[in-house]
Amino acid sequence: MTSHISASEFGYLIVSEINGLGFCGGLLLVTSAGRPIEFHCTAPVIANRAQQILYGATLKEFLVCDQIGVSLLEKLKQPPNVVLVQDRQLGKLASTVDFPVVLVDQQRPEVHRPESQDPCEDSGHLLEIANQQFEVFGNQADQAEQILRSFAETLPISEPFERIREAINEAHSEAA
Amino acid sequence: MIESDRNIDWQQKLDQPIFLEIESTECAPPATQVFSIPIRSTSVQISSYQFEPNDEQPPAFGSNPTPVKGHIDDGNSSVAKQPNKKSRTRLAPPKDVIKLADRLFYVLQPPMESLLANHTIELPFEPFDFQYRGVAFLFPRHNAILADEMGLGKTMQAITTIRVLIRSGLLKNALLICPKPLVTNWKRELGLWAPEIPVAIVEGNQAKREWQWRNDKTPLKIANYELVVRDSEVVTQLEKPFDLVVTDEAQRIKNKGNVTSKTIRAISRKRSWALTGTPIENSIEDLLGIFEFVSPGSLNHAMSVREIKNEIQDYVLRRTKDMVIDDMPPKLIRDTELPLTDDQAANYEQAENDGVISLSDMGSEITIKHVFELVLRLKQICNFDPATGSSSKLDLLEADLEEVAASGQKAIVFSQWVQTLDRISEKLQRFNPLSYHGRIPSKKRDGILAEFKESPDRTVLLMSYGAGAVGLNLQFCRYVYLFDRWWNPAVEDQAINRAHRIGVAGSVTVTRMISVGTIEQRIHEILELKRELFNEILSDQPTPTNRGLTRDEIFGLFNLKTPKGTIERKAAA
Repeated sequence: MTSHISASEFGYLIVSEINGLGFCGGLLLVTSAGRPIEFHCTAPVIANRAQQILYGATLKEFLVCDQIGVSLLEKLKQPPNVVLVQDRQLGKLASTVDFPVVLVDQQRPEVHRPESQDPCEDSGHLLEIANQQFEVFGNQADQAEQILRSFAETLPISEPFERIREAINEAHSEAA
Repeated sequence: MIESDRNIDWQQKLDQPIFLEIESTECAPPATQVFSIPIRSTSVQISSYQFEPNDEQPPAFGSNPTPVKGHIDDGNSSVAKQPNKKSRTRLAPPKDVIKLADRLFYVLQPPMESLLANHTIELPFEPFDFQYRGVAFLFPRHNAILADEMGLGKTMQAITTIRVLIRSGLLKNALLICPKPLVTNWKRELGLWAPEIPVAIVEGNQAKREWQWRNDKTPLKIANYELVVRDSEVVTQLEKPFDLVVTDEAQRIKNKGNVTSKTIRAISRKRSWALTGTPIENSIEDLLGIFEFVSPGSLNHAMSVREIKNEIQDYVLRRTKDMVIDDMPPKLIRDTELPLTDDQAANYEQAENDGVISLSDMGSEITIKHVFELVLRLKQICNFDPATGSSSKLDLLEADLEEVAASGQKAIVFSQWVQTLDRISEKLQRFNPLSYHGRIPSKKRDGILAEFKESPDRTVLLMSYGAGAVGLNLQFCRYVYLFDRWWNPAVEDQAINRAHRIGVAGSVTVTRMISVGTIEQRIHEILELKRELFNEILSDQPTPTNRGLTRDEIFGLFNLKTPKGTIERKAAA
């Protein structure tokens, strides 16, 4: 997938586990004013028995990132200039796209980094904007910072994640 | 294996070489059988939705004035300081929105606070949280009643929602219908809360109005009820439907059979909103009437009260001051029971006796009109003695106003009769009273209110319930007097809430004057029961009963029997 950094849209990506159903993903594209442009959500995804055995501890990352995350990003009709995530595993998507993927965290990202993990491996550029911690994956940390700072003036940056959760619930209650 | 020869010496045996014979057995491993298990990628099923946000378009109606954030209301608008900046008011899809894509459109919108904080939509003051919730309620709804208690800012909430809808491209052609005296009030509030939205007031001669109805492309038109009825042939036959019709003080259309209601219901429209602080003035019938405009056919007389309550839940938003404002100054109700003066008492007794005898003599010819005439006659005597002009109520009022004036405060006095207001005015000249009632030309009314507010010499405003009960913001007044009682508690509440509104600086003292031992006392008891009906139907209380002023009760004021039997309403049964 290709993207243009000059675009003014912001992507919000969530993959969460729903008890008994599997993993569900939602991707919301909003304008700089926070208005929705595109929304894509998945039906619940469940690993088959072979995947459960053979992926072992890496199964969740496989489903969240390689299966759901990649599939959702491929659906985007308009390229965002940044995609925000709340799950560190989704940071790896930065290697598959040419826009930065930003981990939004209420606490400092390094606190969550496993002790055994090399601090230089799988980590991004740390930022603090509006008393919130961010970790930018990808190569456009400076640009991401500029974009996030301007966006933070319009909207609480984490707010659209709430909308995605509600929308996923709405979609699933409809399907139920 | 070693061969031995018993004939050979053992030494020789030792010298003999050893021969080893080796036998090999091939030990090949079994052939390995390989099974391949394909790890198939899980197919991910994705649903996609596209939206058109429209917020990037430039302001279409000129530039906005600089906002004054955090301003406290100065007396003309129902606004307030920002209570909580962190709160987020989310849009929720109405229940009648069925399609998932449509429901997601609302779920995925940013909070109202963010929408309104957008640089293209600036507000003069920060609304209360409950006002944001009111906007979030109206925004997605095609059928809605905003039934907030008087003084909570229904006007501001409606204007802000209309503004956001227009700016979002969802509204291009709206009509606001309000009582005639409130047209200027709406215009003023629109100038404050939506200064960039062009507004056209439908007025002038018939030709001009017809041109306005048919050709004026202004996104928001304002017309009064009487004018809409007068222009019914044009307004109900327009080529394009209105995107939205708002009825302010919607109790005006509560009677399904009257011309006003029929005309307004016949206007072609996509959205129907009703604004009223009193969706139930007398009985559930009132609510049914308003619903015929808001959502025709949703309610009917065959429904039980419980069914009606369930049905209206998603259409009606009702908040009271107690529910939403923690720090609002209290409203102190003082029921002052006054004995009549000697002159009044003598005249009252004679009028009542003569009247009751006269009614009794009428036998089966008696009608409710005859009873009303006696009631009105007696109420007037409770105000002033017809012969001498003495009045225990006026004596109390004068004494009170001395204190009000001395403390630099202002008071409003309500009566149902202009004649009574004129008599009060004569007696209270030293307080420089101003009058505001049906005989005052509409063009002069705004000036009177402005003078009352601005001039420190003007201590008292004399208002009729009819002219002064709705839509006026007089929260700079700390004292309200109900010189006589209206038939309907909701109208009294509206009158009181002209002063007890958001922005009021201190407590509001309401004095309800009741002549002891008279018909006023009996009416007061019935009014209190009627007040309960309203509270019950719009709360989670058990099934209410109709406690309106029935024919039985009106006749019962004089212990007379109803000639045509009891009247019950099905919906309230």
